[in-house]
Amino acid sequence: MYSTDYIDQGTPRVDSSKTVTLEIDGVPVTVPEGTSIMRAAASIDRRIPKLCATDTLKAFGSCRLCLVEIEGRKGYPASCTTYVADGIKVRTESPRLTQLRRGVMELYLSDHPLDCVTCPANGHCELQDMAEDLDLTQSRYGLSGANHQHAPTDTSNPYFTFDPAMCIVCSRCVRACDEVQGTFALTIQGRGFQSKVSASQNEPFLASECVSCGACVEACPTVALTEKSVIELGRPDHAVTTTCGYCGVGCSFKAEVKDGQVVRMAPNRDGHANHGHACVKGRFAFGYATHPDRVTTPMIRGSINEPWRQVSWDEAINYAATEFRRIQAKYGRDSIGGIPSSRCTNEETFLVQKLVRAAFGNNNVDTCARVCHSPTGYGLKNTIGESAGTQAFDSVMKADTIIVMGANPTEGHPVFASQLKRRLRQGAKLIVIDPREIALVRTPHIEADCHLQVRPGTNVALFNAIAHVIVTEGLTKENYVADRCEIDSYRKWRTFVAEPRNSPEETAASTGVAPGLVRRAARLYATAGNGAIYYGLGVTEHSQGSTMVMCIANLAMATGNLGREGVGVNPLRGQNNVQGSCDMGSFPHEFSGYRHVGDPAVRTMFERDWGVALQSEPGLRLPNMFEAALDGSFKGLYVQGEDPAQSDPDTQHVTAALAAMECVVVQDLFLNETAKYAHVFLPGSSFLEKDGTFTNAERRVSRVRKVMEPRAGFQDWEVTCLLSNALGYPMHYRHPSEIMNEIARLTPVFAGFTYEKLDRLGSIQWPCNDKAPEGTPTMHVGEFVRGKGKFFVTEFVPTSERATRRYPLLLTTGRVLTQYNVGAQTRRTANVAWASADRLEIHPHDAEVRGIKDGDLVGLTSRSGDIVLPAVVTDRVRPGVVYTTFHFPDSGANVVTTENSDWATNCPEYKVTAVEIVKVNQPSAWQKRHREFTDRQLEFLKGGDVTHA
Amino acid sequence: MTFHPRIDYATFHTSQRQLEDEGAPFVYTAEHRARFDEILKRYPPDRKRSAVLPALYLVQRQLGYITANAMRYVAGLLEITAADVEDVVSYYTMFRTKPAGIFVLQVCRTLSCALNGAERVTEELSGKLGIVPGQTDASGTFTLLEAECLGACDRAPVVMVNDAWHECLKPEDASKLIDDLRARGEAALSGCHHVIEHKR
Repeated sequence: MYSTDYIDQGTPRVDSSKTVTLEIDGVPVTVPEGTSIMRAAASIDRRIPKLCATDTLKAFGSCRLCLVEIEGRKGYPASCTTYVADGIKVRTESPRLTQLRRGVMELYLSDHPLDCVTCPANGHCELQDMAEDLDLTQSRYGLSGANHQHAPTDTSNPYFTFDPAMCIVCSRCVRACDEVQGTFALTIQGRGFQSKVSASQNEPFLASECVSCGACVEACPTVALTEKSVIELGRPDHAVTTTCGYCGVGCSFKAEVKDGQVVRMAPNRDGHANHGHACVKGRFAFGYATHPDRVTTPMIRGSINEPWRQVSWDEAINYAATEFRRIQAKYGRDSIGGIPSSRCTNEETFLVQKLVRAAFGNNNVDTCARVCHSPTGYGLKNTIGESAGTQAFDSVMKADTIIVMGANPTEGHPVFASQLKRRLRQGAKLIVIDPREIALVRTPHIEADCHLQVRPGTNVALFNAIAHVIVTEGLTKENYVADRCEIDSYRKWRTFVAEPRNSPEETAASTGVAPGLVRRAARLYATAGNGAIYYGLGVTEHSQGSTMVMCIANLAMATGNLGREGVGVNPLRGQNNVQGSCDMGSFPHEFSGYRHVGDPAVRTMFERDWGVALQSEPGLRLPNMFEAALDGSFKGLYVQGEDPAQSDPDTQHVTAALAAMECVVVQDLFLNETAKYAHVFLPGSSFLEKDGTFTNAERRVSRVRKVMEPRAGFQDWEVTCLLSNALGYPMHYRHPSEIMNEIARLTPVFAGFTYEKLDRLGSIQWPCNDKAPEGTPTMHVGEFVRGKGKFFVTEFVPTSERATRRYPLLLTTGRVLTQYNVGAQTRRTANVAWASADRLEIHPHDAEVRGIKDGDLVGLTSRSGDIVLPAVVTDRVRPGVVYTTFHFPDSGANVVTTENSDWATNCPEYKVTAVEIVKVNQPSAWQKRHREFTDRQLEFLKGGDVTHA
Repeated sequence: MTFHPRIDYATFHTSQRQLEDEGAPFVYTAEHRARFDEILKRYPPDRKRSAVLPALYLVQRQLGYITANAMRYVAGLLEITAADVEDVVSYYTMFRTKPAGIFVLQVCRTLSCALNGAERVTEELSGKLGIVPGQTDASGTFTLLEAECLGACDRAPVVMVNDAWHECLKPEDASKLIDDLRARGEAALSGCHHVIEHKR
């Protein structure tokens, strides 16, 4: 079923400098060489009838509706598979063509029910449109012949159905699965009249290899593949363009709405990050926004051992403000702080840090980027000068060698992964650096050239070895470095990595990677044209996370792989607005645009604009807040849209800290883990309920637009304003655009931003200012933001967390495709059909010596705590390494992670925890306590007095 | 909003395949594996998928038909998806996805053979085995099928038995073929005259 207002050009756009001029129906047309006649005709508004063609897929030529006549050529070629040629004269309409098309169409209709009026796709069906264009309401053959009208519908997928009776076997779904998504799960099964679309081996969609990205549903010209929500709720009446609230890819969507309810999320074909593609989360998992678990009334309570009391917004806000002021009066100005969210908008994040700095009067503001990409900020800022990815996603289509390190794009960033796989199928080389055999290492249609299965915690040693090879084998780009980098720092780095102790042979003992493989990977990256590095939290979440980011920047500079398309250093951001929340100044030491609070010029500018004196010393970081809480000096916290009690390491430490505070204010959609320790609950609004902007991993700022009314009456930024006003610091904004104007006024890299410009351009990559009025897709062109690039010596310091006799295995953590981080959203959708619990992956060797079989319950113990999970025995992990996810609060993956953190930024060392595993038969003590605690808190949620204002 | 069904987090999804025969876990015998490795050498390393047809014939030789597990096994060896293999198996009529007898008899029924009495060959075989085309006899030894042109029109009527031809089959000789097959196995077959003449 096609999207509301998109005009399909039939075949993909062709980029060619040569043009061809031809004549279509007597009109001269000039188009790039290699364009199809169909697309050329579409460019002059001649819509040639078609069914199997769509401009996101290569031409296929099977439906035989798009036939045309070409003067001087025999027959009736299909216009989708026939290219333009100079001087040809094409006719798209003639009595003979109409006759042929009608004949074909009648055959289609002889196996398709004519119940359009009651069909969910009525009005959005290409078969219906074509029949109407050809003036056909029925087929002379009727439905009496052999047909497929009794084929059973496959309803196994929770989000869409496949009805073979409606299918015209145009292969668009099969081709979308191959070309757009790159999963190759669908095929045409059988031959001739028996041909039918089949998932994997003629299986139900849910049981097949299908990853439920929905590209097939999007591509289907009829109702054969249709969203269940469309069947149930009917066709949408309007669409709102907005940006996805899940991962850092930041896909653009058209939220299609009926009666104020979202019917479906259709990926925007004009979206610059996703070009019309989406994944199972963004496209389908939006039901959490209307889930009955949403808390939509403000609540307060005196202590966490009391039931919640539902109150009015006024009462809740005043209570929170009074408590914060009381705490500050008793324990000092620095005894409270705030945590903005990487899931909220730029404008909301900006307001929270403004609230902390201006209304709380301290700098105790920190964001969840602390626990994910803070080392990226530190490492990239110091080496190349800007704490952000250097490229646009599209740049990957020009990369020749791609390193994917500590990231699992097919699960964490699926839409980017599809683009990456497309490039790999075109022949780019891939180097995967990961302790696990992630899907990119080997799938049926792509294979990594090298997989460096590094031992957790030894990334820096490995990268030093790669640099060693590149330097000692003379593969550096000396001219580039001489031109663009600080040469002294380069020499020091060169000398350091060239030391024999950094050679692949010497480091192999700690990294566990064969020297030959390291040498091959190094040569591949340094010599095969454009080298691009994509990395994730496997790089940053280590005690040497910042060092590792510098390793990456060093290597990219030394090989000249920065400052043009196809290369670069690209952190894949986990959440929709991690980049944005960092940009907006939510770190304790930085104002928006990464400017230190100690810089008097910057601070004065903010003081003048905000009309209040600001502190010049950085405030507390997230882990410091929890430590201070346990020391008794930090007593109040405002948490907007974050859940540190589940997401931060060493859960028992975090919950003890939360329990030690006197006023915890949580603003969220659900009563999350942190809210169970809260005294004030302020209902949050989902991304569908607000206006603002998100910034994705490629620095792309895109508009978020309100699709439905906020369930609790206020958008999140409005609540922050209310709180600030109650604290006596007035904030009056009528619309988020006014907040954006303030951001632009105070932040040089955002100086050119306005909502008007965003509406006009669709999205903008910062920096956007006088120098780059329409944004900056590729950074560091010609010169680094810092001026000269600076190399850092990256000495490998092993983490103190290592395998011992007591804890002989190393645990590392990650995510799965269908669940998203703490899972507060995705656990409340049908995505649980794919992943319903956290599981522990363990290598067959390690399992065997412990007597563990697939599916056994196993106890996982570290020095921080112990939990129990079901085991999956698999050789995706290397021996000595185990792996789990952290999506389900009941499993408590972070109970076992430790307080170790990055030396520079305190980013926790999630990726290395020494553990032991034993077979058990019941949940751990913590899990039992957690269950009881949760049950009691849920009772408290029900037990409150209902006093609606 | 009811279209996002609430599912108990603790229950795992258990969809059942619709394929008729999952089969036992499959691996080639050592002999077939060696043969497969030999076949694979014919193709460039990045075009392994080209070996899908011979790989499937080996499966069929080993099992008599092709199971879902065998398709997955072949997909794994050739580094393609199970769907890719399914697509091939379901397209070609000479791949079977149901158990068959030790000897699969395919009687050609296209023009030349038909004119030379193919129908009577089928009748004869049916009568002898007590089955109709499409069936396997009670002993599990013979499966009878009708096929379109087998490409041996000059020696019509022709029957294909497993992977080999049996030519110039007079209808009245058909039942003898059954006895010969029982007695001497595939050695009873005449073979393809082109191959035979080529060897001379």
